Amino acid sequence: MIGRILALVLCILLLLAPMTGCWDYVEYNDLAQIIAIGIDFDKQTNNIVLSLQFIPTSKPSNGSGSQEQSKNNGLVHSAADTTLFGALAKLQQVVDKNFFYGYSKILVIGEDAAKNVLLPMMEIHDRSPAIRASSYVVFTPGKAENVLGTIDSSHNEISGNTLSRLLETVSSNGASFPVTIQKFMEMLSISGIEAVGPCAVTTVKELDVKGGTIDSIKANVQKEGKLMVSGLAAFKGSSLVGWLDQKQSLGLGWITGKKINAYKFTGSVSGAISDEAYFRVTNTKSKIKVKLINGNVSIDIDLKVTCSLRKYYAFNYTDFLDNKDLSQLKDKLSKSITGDIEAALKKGQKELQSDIFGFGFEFYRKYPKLWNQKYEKEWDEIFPEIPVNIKVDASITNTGTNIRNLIVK
Amino acid sequence: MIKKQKLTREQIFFSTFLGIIGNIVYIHTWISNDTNRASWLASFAGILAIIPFALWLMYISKFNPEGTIFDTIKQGIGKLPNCLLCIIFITLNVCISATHINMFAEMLRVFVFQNTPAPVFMFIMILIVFLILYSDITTICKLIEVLTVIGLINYFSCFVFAFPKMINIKYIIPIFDTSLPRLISGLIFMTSASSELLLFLMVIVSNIPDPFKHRSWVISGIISSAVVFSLAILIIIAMMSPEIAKRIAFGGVNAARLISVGTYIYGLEILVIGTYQFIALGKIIICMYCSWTSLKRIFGEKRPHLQLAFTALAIFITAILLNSYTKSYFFAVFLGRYILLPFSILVLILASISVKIRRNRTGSVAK
Repeated sequence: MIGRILALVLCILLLLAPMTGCWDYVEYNDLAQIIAIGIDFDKQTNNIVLSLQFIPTSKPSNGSGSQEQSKNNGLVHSAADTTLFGALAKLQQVVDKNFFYGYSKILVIGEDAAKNVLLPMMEIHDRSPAIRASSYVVFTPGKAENVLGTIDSSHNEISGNTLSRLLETVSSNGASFPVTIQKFMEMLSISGIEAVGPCAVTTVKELDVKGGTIDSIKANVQKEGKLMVSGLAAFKGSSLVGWLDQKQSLGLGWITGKKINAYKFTGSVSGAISDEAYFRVTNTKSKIKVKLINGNVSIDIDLKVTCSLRKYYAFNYTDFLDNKDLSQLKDKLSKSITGDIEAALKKGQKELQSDIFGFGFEFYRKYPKLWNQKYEKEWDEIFPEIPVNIKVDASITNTGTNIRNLIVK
Repeated sequence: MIKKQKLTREQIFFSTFLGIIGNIVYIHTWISNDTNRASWLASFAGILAIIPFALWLMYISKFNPEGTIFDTIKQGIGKLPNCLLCIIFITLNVCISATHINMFAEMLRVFVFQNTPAPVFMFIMILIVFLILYSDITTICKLIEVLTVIGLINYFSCFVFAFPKMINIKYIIPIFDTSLPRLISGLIFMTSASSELLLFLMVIVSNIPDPFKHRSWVISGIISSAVVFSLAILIIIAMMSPEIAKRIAFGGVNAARLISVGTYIYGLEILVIGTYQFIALGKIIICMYCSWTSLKRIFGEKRPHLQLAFTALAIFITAILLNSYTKSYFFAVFLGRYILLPFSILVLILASISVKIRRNRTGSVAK
């Protein structure tokens, strides 16, 4: 009996021994919460410029911690080095708290970085468990540093938070689409698809370095301005090849079956007023069909769009929205959507020659053997010449709350 | 011979289930390059292919229902060859548990406790298993039963949140995008890696009441593990694409990290880490129990707890010597690829020969 008790005591002591030291314990107040990460590439010096936007947590004194936090616009520091880790190490030299990436919402990549060092940057973010792959990635035609340092004077919000919200809201009209790091990695990895990512622009051209500069570290960079998310960045392999504007992004959205909620088209212009129709898109179904006839590849895009009419201004229609009018509207809607798709195809297929539509992936799904044996290697040459047939079937299921135009007395 | 404690149907079912889900949780990615999208199918068929060997084992145990397979070999071929087999068997079990505990510890270090030394996790896990093994086999199997159920609930309750938004059917269909020889090669690897179950059955068979008659208990466990494991791989592929899934170290945890619930909960990996922990605990229990039982066959029932302590120490030392995820991964792949199934087949052949010898000697067949 005594032996058993002794053995139990020994086991408890042994279990307690490794629990005395908490190797990973860290106080919340000792963390700098990273909200957004920006990466730029300086072509002249071949340096990587890393910008971090963070909220320095502080102990709540009077009032709650959240109240204190809301007053804080966040800090943006940036540092340049030949490696990303070198830049990170430099930033840690000026921040007295440990960087915590658990709440990182967005990764902003500048144009030059997207063109020159994208793959190693993505590899680091993908391999490191600190950054969640569910956070968004966004590209900017200028510098990522400028995007992060933009302070929106209209509301007290950190640019990282603003950007992530903008990404979620902007997709409703198809001007751009949110892409997570995970989705971007998938597009980079999957054969037959080229990657795309949302594009963010800022009105800020040059930032104020409020905290001064020391050893290529810029402390507290910021300036008042406005952020906008519009269009998409298109890639070929791991390099940025061009930008898609709103119309082309919308076209890509139609082809790939993205969820688009609002749509408008403008018809003939008469003076200051034009024929206009606004729709709420209730359902979109896109099908990419690959055909292989006598070794020639062709693509059929079948798109079914179901809409509700929200507003329309027209001169040629009758007061009542009868079937004839709706039929005309449907035709115009189909033509307008076809125009968007054609614009996207012209840009992606002919100009950029990048399969951002995933036609190659659809080919692989239909003919996996042929793809692996032949077409995967030749796709870059085949893709720009593939004929694409577009069929848009639009239907308007209701006309909103009214069935007549507004009649002015 | 001493009458062995017999296990219930549920205990056998869950023990079989966990007997298979061992190192394959980590090393299944080894076949992904060959099998591509069909890796879940190769896993499913590979696990099912273990059934004939399990049936063979249970058939042999019919002739010695109260003993382990090694007892049968001892009675037929002799003490010395049996002793040699037991030493290899113990070594294999020690290696399996050491690789598994290493991969689990490093997974914790990657995702949760970056600064905590891996030996701390190893030590705590082994100590817990050591304390559990102080009990009798029925209690151990009851614990395995509970661990498996909680683990499964954890795993699938996490991935429920991935439906339907995060599931991409285009990543699954077409299922076959590989050649038949490559699919078969993946299937063989999975069968061989699943042979961890056969090692467990070699010992636990003495605790199954009338093993061959109740073979359905084991078979249903194997089928269930094949379904659950291949379903888990299928979900991971559907969420991440086969291209990404084949290059990640911890499929389930990585996939769970992508799931967000609303705007406040980012990542449900904690649930899947819990499942991996239960699997690790169950696997080490199984391996340590098998090693300990075989050690008792060599040294007799003298000071059994000292023998158990020795087994625990052997696992701990081997795990410390490995002390690397990568080393453990490739070592587990090596075991799965070249050692486990050939060794199991060798044991089964020797056991069959032993039965034959015994029949020739006695001129009768035991029931």
